[in-house]
Amino acid sequence: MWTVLYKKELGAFFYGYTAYFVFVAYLLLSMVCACFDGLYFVTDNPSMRSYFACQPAVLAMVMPVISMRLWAEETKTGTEEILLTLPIGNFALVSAKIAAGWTVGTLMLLMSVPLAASTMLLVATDPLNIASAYGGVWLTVMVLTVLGGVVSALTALPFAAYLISLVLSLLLMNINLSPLLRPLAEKLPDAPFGLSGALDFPAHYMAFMDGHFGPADIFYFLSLGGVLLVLNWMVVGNKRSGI
Amino acid sequence: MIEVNGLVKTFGRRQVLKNIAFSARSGELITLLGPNGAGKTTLLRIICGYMAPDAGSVTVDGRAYGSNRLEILRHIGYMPENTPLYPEMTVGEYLRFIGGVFKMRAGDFAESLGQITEELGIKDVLGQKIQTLSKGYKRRAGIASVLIHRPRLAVLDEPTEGLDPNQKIEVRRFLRRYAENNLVLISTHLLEEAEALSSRVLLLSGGRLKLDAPVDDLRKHSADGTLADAFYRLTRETGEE
Repeated sequence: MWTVLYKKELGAFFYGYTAYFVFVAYLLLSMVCACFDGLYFVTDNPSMRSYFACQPAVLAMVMPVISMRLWAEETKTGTEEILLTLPIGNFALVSAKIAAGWTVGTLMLLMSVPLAASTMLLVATDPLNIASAYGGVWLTVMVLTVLGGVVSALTALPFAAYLISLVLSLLLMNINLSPLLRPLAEKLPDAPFGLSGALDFPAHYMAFMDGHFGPADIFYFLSLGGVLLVLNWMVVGNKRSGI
Repeated sequence: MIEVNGLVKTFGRRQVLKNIAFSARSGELITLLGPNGAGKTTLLRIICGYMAPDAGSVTVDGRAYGSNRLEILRHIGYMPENTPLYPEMTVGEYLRFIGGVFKMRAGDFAESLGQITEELGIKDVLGQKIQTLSKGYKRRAGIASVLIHRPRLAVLDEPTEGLDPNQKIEVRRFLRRYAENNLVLISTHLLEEAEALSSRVLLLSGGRLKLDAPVDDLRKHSADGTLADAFYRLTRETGEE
């Protein structure tokens, strides 16, 4: 049943223009960002670093296009009433939608592989470093899909879901909570992974980009995605409170 | 088959359902009648588990919602008002999706699909995208999706809205046949629909169940013997909300 739902959700992105729009928008924004803001060519030493450096901002703009339709579109068109009265468990519903969104995000990332391949042909670049950076981007795609899924489940209008997801994504990526946690970190100097940087998105993302990520960085993305997934499950469960 | 006890539902300060209670069994085709805003859609939504009541309960085959939710939903087919379907899918894809959700075996699905699409006259549009369908075809595709897995309880909100007279007759005939072995609950504000279709009428007005009787008994409340007059007399006391 999960597979049936996953296929339906994935198909919905390709029946219309959403997936194709997202692919084109992602590549355009990434290239503009890497070439102009990141000085991909100007430095005369093309590397993927400028590309990966601007990925969080690009993903914050593009991923909400994918996530906004997960629930808000169903609410808007009324199909939510059908979906929530089908014999499908809440977790299966949520996870199938998130998995479909993450799949579209993954395909979107794969569109940029030719750029990585041609860059490696031009300059001596460590392929493992590039793979590590892609890992960070892929996990960011996952987190933003689930974050957008929560917002989409709480919103009846897809465009409102887009805007709120965009703002929350940018906040997540730019707010450094270290100063707030510093007093606690000083009291608990031996806390696992170092509390002060535990919730710092840029630090964890940079670790992947630099190719020396550790368990704390993987744990950060997985736990953030997990918490948001549970939140999404709770929101849908609340919608479907039953009798 | 279904027991509804003391249902109460309030939106803000407005009580939409006031202590609704009735029971129904397989073999019945029940029409839920009432003026706009009487609480028909809310009642159907609660019966199908889409909405929770503030008080009261619904049991299907002796099972109440809660931990039995998925088990109950396996035996229900529900078509909401305005037939919301996935516009980007073809009719065939949508029916296959529903069949997959209800874990129908390939053979059963093929048999059911052949029969239902033939009877509802939608065989020719199986490959057509839902967004390109006329209102009548869309409505019949919605009915097919509700009944494709042969639920024991079929709940349809305004099932013949938008159909031409011939299509109405065919759909009504089809629903009557389906109700021979199952329970069909439809909502409408069309009196002719209630008379043409049902064995029993539940008349809701102002959130209260004003009448639960065979359709012929409805006329007893009329001064001139017409259904319209009976409807007017029974519903004007509370009026529309």
